[in-house]
Amino acid sequence: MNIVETHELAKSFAAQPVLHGIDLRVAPGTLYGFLGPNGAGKTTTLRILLGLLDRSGGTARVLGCDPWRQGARARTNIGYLPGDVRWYPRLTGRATLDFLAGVRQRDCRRTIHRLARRLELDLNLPVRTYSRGMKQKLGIIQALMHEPALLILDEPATSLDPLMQDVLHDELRQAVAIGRTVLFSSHTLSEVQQLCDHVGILRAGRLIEQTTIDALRNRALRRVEITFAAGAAGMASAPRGWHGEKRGDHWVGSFSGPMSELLAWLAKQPVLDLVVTPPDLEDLFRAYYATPDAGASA
Amino acid sequence: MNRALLRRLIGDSFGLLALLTGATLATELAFMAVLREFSQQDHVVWMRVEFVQRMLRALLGAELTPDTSATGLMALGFTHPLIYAFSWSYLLTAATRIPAAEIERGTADLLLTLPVTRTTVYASATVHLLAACLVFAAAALGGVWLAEHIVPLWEPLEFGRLTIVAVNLLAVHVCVSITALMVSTWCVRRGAAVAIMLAWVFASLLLELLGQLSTTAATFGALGILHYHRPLITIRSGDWPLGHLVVLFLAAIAGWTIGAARFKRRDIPAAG
Repeated sequence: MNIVETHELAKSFAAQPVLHGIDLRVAPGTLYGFLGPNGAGKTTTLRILLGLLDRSGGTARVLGCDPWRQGARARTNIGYLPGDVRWYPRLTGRATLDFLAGVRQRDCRRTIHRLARRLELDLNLPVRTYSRGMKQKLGIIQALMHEPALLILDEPATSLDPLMQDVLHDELRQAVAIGRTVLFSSHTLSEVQQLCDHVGILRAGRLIEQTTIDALRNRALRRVEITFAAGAAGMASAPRGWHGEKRGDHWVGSFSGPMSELLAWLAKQPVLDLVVTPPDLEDLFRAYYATPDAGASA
Repeated sequence: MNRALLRRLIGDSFGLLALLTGATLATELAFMAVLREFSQQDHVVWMRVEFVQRMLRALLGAELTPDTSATGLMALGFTHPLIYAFSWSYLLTAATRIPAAEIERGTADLLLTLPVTRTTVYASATVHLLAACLVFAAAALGGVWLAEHIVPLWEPLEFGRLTIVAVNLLAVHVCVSITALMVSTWCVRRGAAVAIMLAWVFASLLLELLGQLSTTAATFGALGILHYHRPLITIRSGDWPLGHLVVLFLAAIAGWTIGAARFKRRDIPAAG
């Protein structure tokens, strides 16, 4: 059973549709990156999954519960970090976490202590004195402190310095390693590429792709530069999947398809030098975001 | 009801509650001290001023005559604009916190993604409000009791009758706060919810005043909350104003139910 499953999920605000039939599937123990440009509907989808918004159509199940009707039950096992997390300014970090743990009726002191040390956050200061990054760290602690089965994080790395991003990524990997599930939204492609095993791409309220990062990587273009022995390039006909230009004995282009096919072809050629750069998902994502048909053709 | 949430709601505004409760007690004390300074003759002089008479009639529900007892005069201690101002400023602030203020400052995203139902959150906010209403009604009565011991009037006060007035005041507070809680469930900004409530209570006061001048206005008096708080009549008769109490509590129950249903069904938008 999927931890998160939606079918034809739709949402409209004042008769203006913002989500058009989303079929999201997040399997247990996965690190799922939910990608999309600003305004694509990522946050709206997450808010429906958390029971903050009611759907206009379709169905949604989170941890086996309907998030709107049985939201409180589902949220027992969910940790959520809002995209723009806001706090009660007069409370200290510790009082805030104690309050949230109190509402959850859970003793989270050990995890709070461990996370505060890892994230180097002083919990004894009033939240109003925190910088943006510190507030984000507090948000990460409150999302993780009760060791939930499902973590829903809306752009969690925002405002964190690179070192702290590494700590966050490590925590998320550890969580997944012990069977928890992470669903996080981002528009930072490198973060998703580095961290996730599954990805869903949302554009203009439609889920245009949902696959594994590996599958996506296979589809991505590799940049290839080939230098042939003098005069030999003219005789060679390009392999299938090659797109690029021939500048005499120097070919520059991209290759889509299995690398084994390219290597087999190259083995028969008088090649002096070869440069193959790893597949760049950024190009693929840009293609997804750019035009409605780009995803299919990429 | 969630205890941790209730503790937070009370804790966040405890200082303000203590301050305004103290102000209510002090106002009752000061009011009684001022009354003590007036002789019966002095009362007659200012009560002859027609505008004052009308104002007082609007607030007390009956005409203040020269033979009004000391207990009757203390009816003003339960309808004085300052008493309303202290209690309602707290109650309106507290009642519009959930959900309007929480949505406005973005903390609703934290609060409403905890494993508690919205009904539980609403119930916790309600318990906080009811406790605050009780504190303010008790402070008004307690202030009079304290004043009776510090600056007694020319005759002993009848606390049995004043208790009935305090219960009526409690019902008014409950009705105002629960209505504000209901209004809050329709708003995304606390300011809007407070403005709606202030418009209603000022309109109530205006209706009562206009009701003294025009019979047409008097027919609409029942729409205002002050119509259901007539302390002088209650003190004079010594009877429980059951009709008014029923109207106030029924309105509160209806408002609570509508608010609960609305809060349960409404979308919680992200803070702007």
